[in-house]
Amino acid sequence: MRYKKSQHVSTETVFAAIGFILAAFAIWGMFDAAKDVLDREALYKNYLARDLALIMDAIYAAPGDIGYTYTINPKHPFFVRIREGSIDVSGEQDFKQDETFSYRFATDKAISFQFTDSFGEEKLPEYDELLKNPMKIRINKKTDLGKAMIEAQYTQK
Amino acid sequence: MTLSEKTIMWLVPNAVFLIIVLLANTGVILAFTATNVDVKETEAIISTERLHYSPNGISKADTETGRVYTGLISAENFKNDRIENTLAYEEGLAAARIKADTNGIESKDIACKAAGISCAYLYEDKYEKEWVVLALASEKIGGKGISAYPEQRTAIFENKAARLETVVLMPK
Repeated sequence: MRYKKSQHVSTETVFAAIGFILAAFAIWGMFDAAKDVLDREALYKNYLARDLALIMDAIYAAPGDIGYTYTINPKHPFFVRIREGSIDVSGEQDFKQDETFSYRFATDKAISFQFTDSFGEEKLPEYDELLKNPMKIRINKKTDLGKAMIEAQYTQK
Repeated sequence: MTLSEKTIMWLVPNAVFLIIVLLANTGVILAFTATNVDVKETEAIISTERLHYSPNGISKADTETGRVYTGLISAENFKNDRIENTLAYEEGLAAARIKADTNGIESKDIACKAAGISCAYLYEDKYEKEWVVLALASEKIGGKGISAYPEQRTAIFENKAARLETVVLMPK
């Protein structure tokens, strides 16, 4: 029995097909790994933590009273918590350790500090709502009777 | 040659080649995936400015008006504990030295105990006994270690013109 040339699938063709399938798996794996890094938004969380820490440093430095509002980019909104000496940024409201990125700043022992989470919700609003009303950090430094105090608030208002 | 021999002859070198290419591609992607933003230099600059501009820093400050006279260094404020209270970092995150040279001595190697040079530190022991050596080594050899961020400015200290040399050390 003789096969027509067009009906014969050569061994090389089969191997080439296997090679393409393996390469497709490899490419999919690499894209998936890159997407995983980007989805965790590690870079944006790192940036936000560092930016806020530098702002806190600058506010501690300034003499007199200051009011400052930091608006968080609606494209990359996160939960933010400011502890004395540290900024924590997370995608989750419970600030799980593996989801939280932190950066420290120097405090001043002569200045008291207070942070309030005025938002208090478990989920961040949708992008459309954040475009109209983004998440903010409001920081106020006041001096009263010679004692300075910094109040920071995480809010949407 | 049988089919299985042909398969092995094809598969082995191609599999090895594929693994090498995968590892190389992964390495390139990881090398360019930046998840760290290095702000230490900016942080060191702001820390230095904090010492000069803060009412609790080293500059003279009027407690009644709250005005800070930057450029006028108060000898009373030029103390280690004052600096450690103003820049309250957790120990191990930063150390600093400010040298107020009123004699115009150029060399940066002059020790602080030399005549006419006053020094104040953020964590003196950490600075002098541990980190300054590592910072010099890091500068020469490179790699992980301690980064030094120096800064110079002129000011009035004890009613004399002084050159203030500030060096902030931070781990890389």
